[in-house]
Amino acid sequence: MNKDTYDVIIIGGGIAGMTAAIYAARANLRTVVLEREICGGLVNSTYMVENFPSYPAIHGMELMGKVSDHMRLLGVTVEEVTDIVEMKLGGEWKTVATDESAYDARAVILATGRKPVPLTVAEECQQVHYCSICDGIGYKDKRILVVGGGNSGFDEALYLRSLGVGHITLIEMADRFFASPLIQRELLACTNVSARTSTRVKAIVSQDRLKAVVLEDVVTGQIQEVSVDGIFVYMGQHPNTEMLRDCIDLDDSGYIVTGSRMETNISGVFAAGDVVQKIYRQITTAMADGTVAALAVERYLREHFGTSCLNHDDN
Amino acid sequence: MADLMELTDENYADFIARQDGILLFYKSLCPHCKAIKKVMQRFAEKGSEALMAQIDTEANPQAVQALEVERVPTMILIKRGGIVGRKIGLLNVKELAELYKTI
Ligand SMILES: Cc1cc2nc3c(=O)[nH]c(=O)nc-3n(C[C@H](O)[C@H](O)[C@H](O)COP(=O)(O)OP(=O)(O)OC[C@H]3O[C@@H](n4cnc5c(N)ncnc54)[C@H](O)[C@@H]3O)c2cc1C
Repeated sequence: MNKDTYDVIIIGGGIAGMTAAIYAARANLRTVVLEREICGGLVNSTYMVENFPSYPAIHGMELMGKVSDHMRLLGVTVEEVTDIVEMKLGGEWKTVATDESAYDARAVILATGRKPVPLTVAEECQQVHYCSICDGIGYKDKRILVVGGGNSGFDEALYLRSLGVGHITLIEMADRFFASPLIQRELLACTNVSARTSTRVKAIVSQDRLKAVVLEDVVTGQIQEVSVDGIFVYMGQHPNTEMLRDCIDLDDSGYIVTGSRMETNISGVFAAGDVVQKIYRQITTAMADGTVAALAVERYLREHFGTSCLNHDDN
Repeated sequence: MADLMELTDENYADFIARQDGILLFYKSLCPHCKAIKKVMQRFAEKGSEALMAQIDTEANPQAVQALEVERVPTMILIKRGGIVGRKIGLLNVKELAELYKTI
């Protein structure tokens, strides 16, 4: 197996990891990004980003494409569709092994983000989806259920409507919707949309394909069967920290605990983005974390191991 | 990494009839499609004999309808001039190699 040595290994190529890579590369650090899928992370699945300073509205994937191009231009090594099989973070040299190679560095930035909370229903069902951009095409003129009354649920329902979906039922388990008033007004004004709070999916009814959902009013216990052809789930996110559970300090919800320089409890290991314990999870806050983590790595390497960790002419 | 061959409504059937290969149904703004495309390219680099091609679902409705593609990414697996399987959603290079070998 190949073994490559870098100044810093960044795990996760979302906006936090890519921002960290840009700052690390510009600090002349040999940098590798290891990404399980493709760079861009959750933002890739956001149809329209409307709060990124400089673009009033831009497709998430287009925005991430620009960041990825910038990162590659600076000579960052990027390994995509790669599976991490082992990590040793404890000593001075950290090793991360993937299915094909191993990487050594004195610093690691964890930027693994979050993944959607799954809908727990008894049966496996092909018509339960988490990405409307990917899976919306089959639902023109059909009936769908959107689960989740936050900004994501309302945003995605509007996107699905733009694809020509016949009818949307949106449900939220809490007693109110959490999406911004503006977007709530926009969706709820549509004739082919019905929405209800205090409601959860109790079961699904399927024969080969999804036929209906059984909805339960969580206050009254009342049950109703509603026919739908597909379900799109936006019930929030869980941090991607399963593989870190035994070595990194996590909070009760599984988020990485960091200090003001994005440092973790392990010397030389930093973290950035949605995976970190914090209040607001946005593109800009993930970028801020990535920036701080990369600058802190540069400082850590300089203070502990001298100005240049690797002989950059030896590449 | 070599790009996948781009097919259309006009020539996809011919590809299926003549090649051992994998045909990816994709959409341009679909991140999982981009990931699967990378997986197929990696599979080809590792020496797979299968020919890799892709077809844009938004520009080629006839192929989408004919092969009953409802979600992207959908991979159509082709051997001996016919469709032998399909795979919807994500998988890694090892899983794809295994799947293509066993069908
Ligand atoms: C539906 C939705 C809409 C949103 N809309 C907006 C918006 O309009 N504006 C805004 O500012 N924010 C928005 N957000 C929030 C924003 O997407 C996140 O704050 C941002 O993506 C966080 O970036 P990140 O890099 O920390 O994590 P992520 O984007 O989650 O990226 C993490 C990356 O790490 C990879 N990874 C995970 N585990 C591993 C592993 N073991 N090995 C290798 N790689 C791994 C993942 O594949 C992923 O690419 C939205 C979120 C959602 C869910």
